[in-house]
Parts: sequence; C-alpha cells; structure tokens
Amino acid sequence: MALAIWLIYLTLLIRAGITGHLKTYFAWNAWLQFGLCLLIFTVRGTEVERSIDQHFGDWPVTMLIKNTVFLVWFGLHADLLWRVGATTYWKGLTRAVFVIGAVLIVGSVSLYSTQPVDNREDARDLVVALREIILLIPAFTTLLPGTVSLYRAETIQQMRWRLGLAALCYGVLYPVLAVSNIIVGAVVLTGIDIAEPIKQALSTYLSIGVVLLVILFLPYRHTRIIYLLWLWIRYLRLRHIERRVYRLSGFDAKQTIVTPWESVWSISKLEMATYAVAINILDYYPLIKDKKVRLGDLAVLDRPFSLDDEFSRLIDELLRIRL
Amino acid sequence: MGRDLQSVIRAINDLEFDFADFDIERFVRHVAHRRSRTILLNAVMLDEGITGLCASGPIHDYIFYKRDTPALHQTHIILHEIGHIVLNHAPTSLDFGDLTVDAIVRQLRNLSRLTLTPDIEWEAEQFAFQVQARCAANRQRRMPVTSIGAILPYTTPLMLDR
Repeated sequence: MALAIWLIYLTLLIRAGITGHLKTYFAWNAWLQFGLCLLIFTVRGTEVERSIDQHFGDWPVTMLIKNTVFLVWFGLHADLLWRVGATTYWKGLTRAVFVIGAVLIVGSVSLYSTQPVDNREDARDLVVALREIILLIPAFTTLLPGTVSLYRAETIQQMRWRLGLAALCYGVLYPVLAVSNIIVGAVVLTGIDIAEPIKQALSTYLSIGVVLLVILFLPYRHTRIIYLLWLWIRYLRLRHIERRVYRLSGFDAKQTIVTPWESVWSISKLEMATYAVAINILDYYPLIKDKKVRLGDLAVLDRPFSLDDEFSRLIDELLRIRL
Repeated sequence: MGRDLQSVIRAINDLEFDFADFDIERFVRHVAHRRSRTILLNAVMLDEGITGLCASGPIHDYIFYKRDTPALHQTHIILHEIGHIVLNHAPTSLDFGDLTVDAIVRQLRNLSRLTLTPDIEWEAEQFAFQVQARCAANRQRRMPVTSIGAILPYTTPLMLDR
C-alpha cells in the first residue's frame, strides 16, 4: 500500500515539477506536507524502525527522523494557516511549543538511544507519548481551528470536502491516535500489560488516515464521480420539493428547461437543471406560504448572485423546505 | 407566433456580451448601452404570483422586480424581463408621466394580463436560462480550485484542477 501511495505521490510531484509548479515556497510547503505524511506512514511500527536502525549501529535514527518529521509537518501546516490568516489565536504559544518540542524530542530520543536494544520497547512508548503530548497542542490551538475556519469560508464544494477531511484528520483521527499513544505510554509507567492490543488497533487506524490523505491530494477530476453523485442527490431532492410546491399551489408542473437525464456526466448541465428547479420553487413558493410550510432563512442570500459560490448556499436553504 | 428558441439565442448573441465575467448590473448596463436607452431597475413589492414587470417608455426601459426574494431569484427575474425587452415583447411607448411607482406597477400588471401569452413567457424564460447557462459554462471552464484567494498559492501547485 505504501509503495502504491508513494508512486501516486511521485507521479504527481514530477508532473508539478515539469509544469513549473514547484518554484515557490508555497508549492514546496504543500508538497512537503504530503511527502512527510507518507514518510511517517512508511516507517511506522517497531519492526521497520529496527530494520532501518540496524544500518546505523542500532542508534534510533528512525524514531528521531519520524518525530522530527511530525514536528515539521505540523509546523508547515501551521505556517500555511497563519500566512493565509485562517487563524491567529495562540500563535506565540504554538511557536514556543514547536521550539520547546524540538528540544524535547531530540533530547528524549537521545535518552532512548542509551537503552539496550533488546529492552527499548517501553522507552519507545514513552518517547512516542511525549511526542503526542507536544503535538496535540498545535493540533488544537492552530491546525484544527484554522482548517475549520477555511472549511467554513470555502464555497467550492470539492475543496470544501477536502478541508472537511483535513479537519476530520486533525479533529478526530489524530487526537484518537495521539491519546491512544499517550495511554500506551501511561500504561508502560503503571506496568499493566495492555499496550500491545492498542498498538495493533492503531496500525489499522493509521491506514484510514493515509487513505484520506491521498483523497485530499487527488485532482478534482478523479473525485468528479463523487461530486456528480452529490449534485444528483441534491437535484432529485429539490425536484421532490418542486413537485410538492406545484401540487400545493394548484399549478401544473412547468416543463423543465434542461432535461437532466441527457446530462448525466455534465456538471454544468446538472447545475443548470438544479438552477431551473430552484427558480421554479422560488416562483411558486409565495403562493403556498400560508400553508404551514417551513423554509430556511433565505435572507442570508443578500449578495449579487450569478450561479457562483452562493448558488450552493441557496440550494442548501431550499433543501430545508419541509412540506 | 410560436416558441422560437433560435430567435432567443440570436438575440443573446447579438448582445455580444462577455459572459466570462458576468454580473447582473454590468449586463444591464451593457444591454442599455446596446439599445442606447437607459434601463431603470426598481425593486418593488408585487402581488403573489407576479415576480416582475417591464415596459419601454419614450426614453427609458423600466423593469420592476420582486423585492422580497433572494438575490438569485431577483437576478433571474431581471434577466427574464430583459428578455422581454430585447425580444420586443415589452409594451412600448407608454408615457407614465408623473405616476407613482405603485400606479405604474398597477397599470403594467393589468396590461401584462392582456398581452403576455405563454409563448412569450416561455421565450423570456428561455432568455434568462440561456444567459445563466452561458455563465455556468464559463464558470466550468475556469473551474476555480477554491473560493479563498489566500490559499490559491498553496492549492495551485497541487494542480487539483488538472
């Protein structure tokens, strides 16, 4: 699985390089984040760590690299969110955490390296737990609030989904992983032997995060089928409301301007069909206002509009009609 | 007179408007310029069942559209009424003199009941949809990756739109 994901990553990266998309700091920041996540995924587990460390005289180089990569990844993402103004809260604290975290991570790995190779497991769990305690701070002070803020502001649906997935990673997947690792560390200190089952469960869990990560970086055309499906569901729900509005208003259904069945694969035609239905509802809705119909707050749509970002918001509001 | 989609499409083409950067105010100004007449837009309260009205006076073209409806709907209504105007459906040479807006609306409402046929309404509706379809097609060609300008430097290198 890791090999396949690396191939996808390298293909996309080479394509970006060939087309001149790797010339700025912003480009490297975005691509590095993806690559660092993959690196963490690739060297996960004690077996992999040991096999790599053997080549370095059993010095825990893999652990050091992995922990540093975690810190750099979070730092790059925090920097992105600060630069775009997605969040400004706790900026000073978060920066301090990165600096102190770097010192603690290097220090803890150095201590860990002094342990005998055959008896490192417990020490390893403690180092990982320390790393998670450090990283949870920027995750909650910057990464999660910043990503959620972008998610709320975003109106292009395909990007909104990606930001939603990123928020899920920082708000649910990572905290669960981190807290589990911290529990494993705490268990080591108490001497109760339940660490192994937790670790095995986490290995599978990490794979879910990586699959989400790949989706985040896939070009829109590869997720087009999901987008079309989403548009279709909204269109059909809206058609249902339209029919009910017609029935209640006592008018015959108007002939639909665009026939959506002819445009199964066309996003723009499907959007037009949805638009036509939305206009019909808005035309006829006032006639049934007094028939105990509940409608969303359309007053939010007070900006000039032309099938752009507010279109999706209008449809959201119309879909709230309860008949 | 039957329903004539071709004349609607021809009328839109003849306007020679750049739909790559559409907004309703610019479109109204463009149509007014092409016709060498001003178009006066008025958001008014209208009876239920009526969303917009239009007329061509000696100097101005008048469009009255529903005030209490979302901006999307208002845009559509204005496009529909412009459709009537450019397709020459609108009642012409009306002199409203010193009439109030309410009085003009009342007069137009009575007139529209007599003059507007389903075919004429269909053509004006087609005009509005064809205009929006061109905007949608342009938007699809541009296919913005994000609506947040600040994150474009990060998302552009990822080539999510390719």
